[in-house]
Amino acid sequence: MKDPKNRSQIHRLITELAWLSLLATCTKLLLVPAYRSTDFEVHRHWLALTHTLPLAQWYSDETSPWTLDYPPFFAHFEHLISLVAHLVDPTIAHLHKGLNFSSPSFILFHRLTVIASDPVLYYGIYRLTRYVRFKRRFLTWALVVGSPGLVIVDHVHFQYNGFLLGVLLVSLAALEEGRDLCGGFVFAVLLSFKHLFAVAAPVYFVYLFRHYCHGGLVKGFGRLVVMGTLVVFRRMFPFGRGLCHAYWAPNFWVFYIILDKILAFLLAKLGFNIQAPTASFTGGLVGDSSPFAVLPRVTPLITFTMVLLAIFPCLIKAWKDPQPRMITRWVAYAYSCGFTFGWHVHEKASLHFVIPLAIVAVHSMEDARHYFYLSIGKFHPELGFIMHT
Amino acid sequence: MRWTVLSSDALLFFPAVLWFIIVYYWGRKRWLQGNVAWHIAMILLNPCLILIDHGHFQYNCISLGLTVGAVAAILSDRELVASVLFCLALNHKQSLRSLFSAKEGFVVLTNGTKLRAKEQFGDVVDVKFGTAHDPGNFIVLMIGASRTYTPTLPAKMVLRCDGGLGRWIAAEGRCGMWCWDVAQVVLRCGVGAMVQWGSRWLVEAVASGRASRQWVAVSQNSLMIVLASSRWTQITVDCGKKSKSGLYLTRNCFHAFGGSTMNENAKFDILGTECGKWSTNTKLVKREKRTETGPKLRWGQRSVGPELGSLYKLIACRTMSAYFAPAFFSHLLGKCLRRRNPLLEVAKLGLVVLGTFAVVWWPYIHPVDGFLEVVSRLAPFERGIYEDYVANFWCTTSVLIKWKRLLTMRSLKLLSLAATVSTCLPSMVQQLRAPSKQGFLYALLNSAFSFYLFSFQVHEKSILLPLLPASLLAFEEPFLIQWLTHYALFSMFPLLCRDNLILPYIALYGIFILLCHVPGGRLDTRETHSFTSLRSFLSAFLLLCSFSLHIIYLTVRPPKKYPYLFDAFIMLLCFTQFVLVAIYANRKQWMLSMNSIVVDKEKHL
Repeated sequence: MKDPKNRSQIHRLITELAWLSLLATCTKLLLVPAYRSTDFEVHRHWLALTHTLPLAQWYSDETSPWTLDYPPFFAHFEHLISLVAHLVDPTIAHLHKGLNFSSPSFILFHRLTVIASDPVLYYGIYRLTRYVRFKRRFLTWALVVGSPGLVIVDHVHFQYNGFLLGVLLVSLAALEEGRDLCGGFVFAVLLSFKHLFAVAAPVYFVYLFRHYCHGGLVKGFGRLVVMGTLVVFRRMFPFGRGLCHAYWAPNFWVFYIILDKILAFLLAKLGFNIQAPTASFTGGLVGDSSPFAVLPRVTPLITFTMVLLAIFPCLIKAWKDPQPRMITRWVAYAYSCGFTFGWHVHEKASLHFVIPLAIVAVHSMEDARHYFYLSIGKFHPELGFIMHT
Repeated sequence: MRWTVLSSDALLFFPAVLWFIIVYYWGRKRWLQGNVAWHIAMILLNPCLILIDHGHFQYNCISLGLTVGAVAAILSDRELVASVLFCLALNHKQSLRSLFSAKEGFVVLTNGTKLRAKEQFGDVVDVKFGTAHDPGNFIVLMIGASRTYTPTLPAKMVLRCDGGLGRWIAAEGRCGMWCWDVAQVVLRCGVGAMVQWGSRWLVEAVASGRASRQWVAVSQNSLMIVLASSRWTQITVDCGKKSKSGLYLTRNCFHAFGGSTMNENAKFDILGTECGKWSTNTKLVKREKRTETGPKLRWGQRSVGPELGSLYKLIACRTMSAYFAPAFFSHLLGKCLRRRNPLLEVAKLGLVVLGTFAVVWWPYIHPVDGFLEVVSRLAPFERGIYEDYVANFWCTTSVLIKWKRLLTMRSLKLLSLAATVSTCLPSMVQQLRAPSKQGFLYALLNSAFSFYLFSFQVHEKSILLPLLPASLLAFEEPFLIQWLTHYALFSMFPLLCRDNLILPYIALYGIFILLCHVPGGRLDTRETHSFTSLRSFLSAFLLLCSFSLHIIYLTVRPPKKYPYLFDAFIMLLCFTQFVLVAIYANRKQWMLSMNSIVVDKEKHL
C-alpha cells in the first residue's frame, strides 16, 4: 500500500468522487416531493424535543408516541439541526404546535439535512478506497453512493443512515490501515449514534484484542458509555416490540414462524389439541402467553445467543489470524448474522451489511456474486415495504 | 396516467434511441464505449424532454421516439421502415388520423410490385400484404401465406388468375406494370374510401344517438382484435421461415405497438382510422437471389419506398413531426434523383401524392363546411400567429412590430408560410443536391428550427423538436447541444415555474451539466475548433445574463405596467441564441456538401 504520489492523482480522485456525489445529490433532489413515512414526523419530533427540553428530560418525555430511541450522540445531532430549523420556521421545533407539521419549506429543509449529512458517507468511502485502482474504486463508489436501497431508505422513507454508514466506513478504513485505536474509537462513536451497529461489536472486540495485542486496553471501550443508564437502555432496546417488525424482514425467524404455523395446521388435522396463540408476532411480549402454537417460545435472550453463535466462526477466524484486509468482510458477516437472527429486525438493517459488502465486492468474482445476490435479495422486501405505503 | 408516459417512453423512445446509436456508431473506426454511453445519456437524459413529458405531462416521447426510429432507419438504408415510422410519428398527436389511410396507396403500390416479383420467381418470394384495412387483401394474404407451404386448389386458382395477369403484365414490360399498379391503387383506395365513409357514417350515427357508443366501442375493439390476430397469424406464418424471421418479428412488434400506442386513451375514434392504424406496412419480404432465371424486374424489385416515403411528408398537415418533413422529403428525393430514370420516379411520386390526397380527403370534401371544420381543427389559425411568450420570430418582433394589428390573418398566414419555406429551402436544396447521412441529421435540425422560428402558432414546447436532432448530433457537436439545451430549458422556464417544477428543473439541469463534463473526459473529443478568448468571454457573459435572469424572474416582481416584462427578456435572449444556432447549423450543413460526401449512385438491379 503506497500513498498516492502525485498531487494530480489525488486531485483526480477527488474530482471523480465529487462528480459522483454531485450526480447523486441532483438525483436525491428529485426525490424531495416523494412519499414520506412516519419516520419524517419522528425525526421532526426529536428536533422539537431536543430543542425545547433540557438534556435530562430527553429520554423521559411522553408528548408524542415517537420516543427518542437512539443513543445520546444522535440526540445531539438532532439538536444541532434544530438550531437551524428554528431559523427556517419556529413552528418546526415547537414541541406541541409542530406535531405533524409538514409545510413545503420544511419538507425541503428536512430532506436537505439528509443530503447534507451524506458527505460523511463520501468521506468514508474515500478513506476506504483510497489505494484501490481506478476502475474498481469508481465501481465501489457507484455501488455505494448509488445504492438503491440506501437512496430509498434515506431519501424517500426518510432516515439518516448515510452518515452513520459513513462513520462505520471510516472506522473500517482506520482498521484496514492498521490504526486500531482510531478505528476502535470511531466505532464507539458510531455506537453512540446508533446502537444497532453493536452487532459487530464482538468482531471488533476479538480483532482488536488479538491485533492490538494488549488485552486490557480494548475492554469496556465505549459500549458502556452508550449503555449508560437503565432508562436509556430500555428506550433503546425496545424488547417490548415483537419478534418481527410489522413488515417482516427476511430473516430466520420468519421461517421459524412459518414452520410453527404449518406444524400447527398439520397437527390440528391429525387430531391434536392445538390452542390458537393469543399473542401476535409483531406485538409485544404479553405476559406468559406465547405467540407460537407448537414450537417453543423465542425470547430476546435466545435471539441474542443465536446471533453470538452465528458470529462465532468469524470470531475464531479473527482470533487466529487478525488481518486488516479482512476486517470489512468480517464486519459485514457479523451484520448479516445480526440481521438473520436478531429481535425485531427492520429490513433497513440489511443496509448495514450490504454497504460494506459493496466495498468488498470489487475484489473478486466470488465476492461480486455474493454481493449481487444479497443486494437483490434485500431489495425485494424494501420494494414491498414501499409499495405498501 | 404518469405510468402511461413512462411506459411509452421506455417501450418506444428507448429502443428507438438504442437502434439509432447502434446504426450511428456501426463501422466507425473508433467504437469507444465511453462515447456511446455518453451519447445515449445526452439523448435520453435531456432535461427538456423529461420535464415536459413527465413533469408538465405530454406524450412527446412517442412521436419523438418514432422520429428517431425513422432517422435510424434512413441511416441504415431502410427507407421503407423509415417512411413507416415517420408516418406513425406524423400521425401521432393529430386529430385527423385518417391521414393514415393514405398509406393504402403506399401499400398497394409496393404490394403490386411484390406480387409481380412473386410471379416472376414463382412462390419463392413471400409476399405479405401489410394491410388489414382491405378484407379482400387479407384473404389473399392468408392464401398467399399458405400457398408457400401447401398449395391447395383454391390457392392455385388464385395463383393462376393473378399469375396469368401478372405474367401478361410483365410481358408487356414496364408500362404495363405501371398501369397495373395504378389500377390496383385505384381499386384498393376505393375500398379504403368505402371504409372511410362507413366510419364517417358511424360517427354521425353515434352523434345523433342512433348507435350507442358502447356498441361502436365494442365493435371497434373486436375489429382490432381480429386485425391483431391476423397480424399475429401473419407473423407466425412468416416465422416458419428461417433466417431473419426474428428481425421481422421484432420489427412487426415495433410497428404493431406503434399503432396501438396511438390509441390515446379516452378518445372515441373513427373506426376507419383504427383500421388504418393496423396497416403498418411491414414488408416481410425475403427476396431470393434468383436473378438468373426470368427477366429481371426493373423498378419493381427494389422498394419504391423512397418516393412514397417522401409522399407522406408532403401529406402531413400541421403536425408536430411535420417540422422534420422537409428534411425527410429532401433527403429521400435527393436519393431518388440519383437513381436511374429520375423523371419517372418524380412523376410516380407526383401522381401518387395527388391520388392519395384525393382519396384521403374525399370523404371530408363533400360537405364543404365539414371540410373546413376539419382543416380548422388541424390548423387553428384563428388562435393567432402566436400565443403566450415563445422565442419565435413573430413573438419577439411583435415587441416592435405589432403583426396582429398590421396585417390580416390571411396575409399573416401567407407571410409565415413564405418565411418558413424560404428559411427551410437552403438545407433542402443541399440535401437534394448531395444527400448524405451526416447532412441529413443537420437538415433535420435546420428544418425543425425554421419551423420553430417562423411557423404559425408555435408553443414553447416545440423547442423539443430542434433539440432532438441536436442531441442526435451530440457526438459531432458537443458544444452545440449544451448551448441549445441551456437556452431551450431557459425558454421553458416561465412555463415550468407555473407548474412548480423549479426543483426538478435545477436537479435535471445539474445532472445534464455533470454528464456533459464526465471526469476523465470523453475519450475522443471532436472539438476541432478551440475557442478564442473573445468567444469564451461572450459565452460566459451570455451565461451570466441567463443565470441572473433566472434569479430575477424568481425573486423580483415585474412592474404593474408591464407584467410580462421578464418573460419578454427571456424570450428575446433565447431567440437570439436560437437564431445563432440555426445559422451555424445551416453553415455547417453546406460545408459538409462542399467536403463532398455524397451517397453513391444506387446500382441498378
